[in-house]
Amino acid sequence: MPDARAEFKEKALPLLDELYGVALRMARNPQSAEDLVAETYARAWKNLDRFQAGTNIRAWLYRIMTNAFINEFRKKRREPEKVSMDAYDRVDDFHFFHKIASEASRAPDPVKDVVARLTNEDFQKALDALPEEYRAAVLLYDLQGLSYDETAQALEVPVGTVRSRLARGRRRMQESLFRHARDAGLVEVPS
Amino acid sequence: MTPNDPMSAPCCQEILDRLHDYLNRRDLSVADRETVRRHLTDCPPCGDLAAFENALLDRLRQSAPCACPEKLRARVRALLDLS
Repeated sequence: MPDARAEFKEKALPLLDELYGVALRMARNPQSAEDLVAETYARAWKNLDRFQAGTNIRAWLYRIMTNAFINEFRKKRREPEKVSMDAYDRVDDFHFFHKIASEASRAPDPVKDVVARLTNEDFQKALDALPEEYRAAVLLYDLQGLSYDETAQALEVPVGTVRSRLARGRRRMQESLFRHARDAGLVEVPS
Repeated sequence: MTPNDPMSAPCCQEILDRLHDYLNRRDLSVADRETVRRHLTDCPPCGDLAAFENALLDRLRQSAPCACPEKLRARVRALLDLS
């Protein structure tokens, strides 16, 4: 299968940086992230005959990586993360903006006054604090720009579940970011 | 919104329901993208909200610039070359 192997090397190796970035946010630990990425490439290479030429190699690699993470890496932890899916009946997709618009008094230009002044660490903390299944959906869809179908395939759940995890994940991130903004004095909320 | 054609103009909620699809750039048809884009231009409150969400997404994407460590790159290359 020399052609498939050559094609894989040509297309998959340039994805190392972004796969490592996602692995790092999934595993939240550099050594685990390296092992996860290496395992992903090893599995892909071994199962190259299952990869159909012309399909999306990026989505395929994310699918392998997500599977490896769920089945192997997460197993090693003592307690699997459980998420209550009914935490929010009606999710406000734009919680952060609405909080600023309705309650805060010190942000006439929310993009410049708030978003631009939050730190990279604030964003990373908000992402890292998400339950794993929400974080995976946000990573693949919002950060890496996969489509709903690709994200659903990678996570092996229906598209509706992807949408629901995204909505809940974003809501939680926006709550965290609002708290960071308030604690940093970027917004003032009447007590 | 297009005041001249109120029957076909989508309401704000319909647009906001599709805002994340629009910002992701993958899940809307060309026609739907154009509908959302036009609404965001014509409706300042929705435009402000979309600018805020887009800025959040940009910051989120930029917050974790990750370069694969060289030793991992070498490990993966070795894996592919030696197999």
